[in-house]
Amino acid sequence: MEKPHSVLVVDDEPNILLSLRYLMSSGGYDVRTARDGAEALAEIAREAPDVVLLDVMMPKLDGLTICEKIKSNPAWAGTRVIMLTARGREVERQKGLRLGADDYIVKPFSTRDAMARVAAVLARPRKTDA
Amino acid sequence: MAKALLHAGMTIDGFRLEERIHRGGMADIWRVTRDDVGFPIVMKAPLLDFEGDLSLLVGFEVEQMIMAELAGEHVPRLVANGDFAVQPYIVMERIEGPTLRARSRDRVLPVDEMIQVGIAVAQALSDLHQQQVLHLDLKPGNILFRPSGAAALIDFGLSRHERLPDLLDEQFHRPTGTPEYIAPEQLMQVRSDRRSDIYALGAILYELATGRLPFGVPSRMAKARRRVWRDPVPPRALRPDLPPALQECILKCLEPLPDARYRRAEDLAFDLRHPDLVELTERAHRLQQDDLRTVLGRRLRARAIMRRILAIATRPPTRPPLILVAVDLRPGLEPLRQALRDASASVLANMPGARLACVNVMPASLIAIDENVDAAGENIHVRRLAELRRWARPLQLPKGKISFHLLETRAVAAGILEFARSNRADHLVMGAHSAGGSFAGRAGGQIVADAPCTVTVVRAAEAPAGVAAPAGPLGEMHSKP
Repeated sequence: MEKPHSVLVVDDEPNILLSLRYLMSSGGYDVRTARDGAEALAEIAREAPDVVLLDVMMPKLDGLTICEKIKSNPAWAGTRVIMLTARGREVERQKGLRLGADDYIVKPFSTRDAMARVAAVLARPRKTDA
Repeated sequence: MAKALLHAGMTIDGFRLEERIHRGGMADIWRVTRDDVGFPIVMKAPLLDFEGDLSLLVGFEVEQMIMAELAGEHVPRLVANGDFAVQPYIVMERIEGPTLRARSRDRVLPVDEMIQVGIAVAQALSDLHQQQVLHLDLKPGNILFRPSGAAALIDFGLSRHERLPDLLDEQFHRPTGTPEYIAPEQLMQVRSDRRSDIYALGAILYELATGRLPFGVPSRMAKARRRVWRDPVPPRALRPDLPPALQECILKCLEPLPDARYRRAEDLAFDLRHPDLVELTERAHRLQQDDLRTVLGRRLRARAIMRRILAIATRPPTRPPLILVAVDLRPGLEPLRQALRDASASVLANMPGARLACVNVMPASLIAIDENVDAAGENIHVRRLAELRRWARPLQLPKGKISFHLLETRAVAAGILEFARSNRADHLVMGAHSAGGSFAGRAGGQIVADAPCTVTVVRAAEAPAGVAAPAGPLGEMHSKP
């Protein structure tokens, strides 16, 4: 049997972690969660996931800083990043994409859309493959 | 309390006093050692004559209590607390420092260094607040830096733990803090707003940027009230090379109204780390204080402004949003229940802090006929509650995030609507099916029409065998104003 894709959901809002863990697990993904930037980096270092769903505003380390760390580390080249950004914060989205994020989702978001974007990001070649 | 003076060479509870390294206004700091402690430690011991001021004694007790609750790199590690009946002390990890006061003495910091300091202190504050502690006396002398660059906060004598009794508030009815850095609401004896610490950090950043205190050195607390109506000289007027984004951050921290400041310390850390993303307002470009006419107007309205500050800072915490999900437990509806579960998770994801109330409706007639016991002799209430819990189990919601309710009612729609109203539900999730279910037809329509909140109507994605449930989209949203 093929190994399921792994997703790390990083957000300081427990409801997002609980919901996405349930929905992504139901969708067949191997899901881990982290409540802040420091926890996220520890999880990625333990085993780099296929996709990180990354909130921008978080305690300890913010999502943009983590995105930069992921994208500058060759060992994590296989990890795709989807940023979770607040509505009306276009500058955050632009900076996230500039730092190498593969896609972004604007909060509040449709969970079906989030699932579709994870699937789409996994289906396309990595930025580093281009 | 022991009256013997502490001196080098004496031993207390196994701690050997090696040398006194600091004498403060209320306590001495001793370098101490104990064989079983493998890192440098210090003992903070109150001055024996400090009993003259009871608040200092209480402050020491507060510090003992709060340090016992704290952990992590942003506070010194607690080793032991000394009993007040014998010799009060706090033995803690020694952080070499320097303090921010020593680091910035007689100089303004280069912009880059100032930003790094600001980020480090904001992160330390964020960590403290997440541990439910408010410092309430943040100032350069109470901030140390570890070799890693991480800031550590010390001196919790005026602090408050949100879940512990506030001894200072209960016993003394006067403002506590340091006048140079104190937030306006603290002047009104409010000790419960995390944004008071953000205000103090703003005053510190102002001082680091300009070499001046934003409101000078008030000779007494009453004079510190001036900050309610008098705005500080904009930092860029004193230091033109300061980036506008940094002035925006500093002045936002120093807003008299707590709602106008950063909501959380991590939001300030974010702006300092990404100045290119700071939303610049007129604050960023100010080069002069407000004119005297404006200031005079605020002075005349000072009482009203202070009442507003007080109202904001003492506002009761907002109630977490409530999501009500109506679950039909009759056989054959598993696909619908699955869709309800998915929809509940989706709604939860977009409602920070919300909790889920799972409701099952029992027609009152059923109870009357069966006298609460079904054919198998089981209590219907117990069985249905167990089924509700089983339905919710895949969501893995922790206690406090979920509750279970049985409604006994003759009119299904009215029962659900009454529950939603009386519990001030923010969102209702319910199933729509044409198999004669509880919410089919008019009942469902009535709920959607009369619900006091947003309603999501869910249809099963696939029709199970024998049940004509229509396939359809996961949910339809009906928003109420």
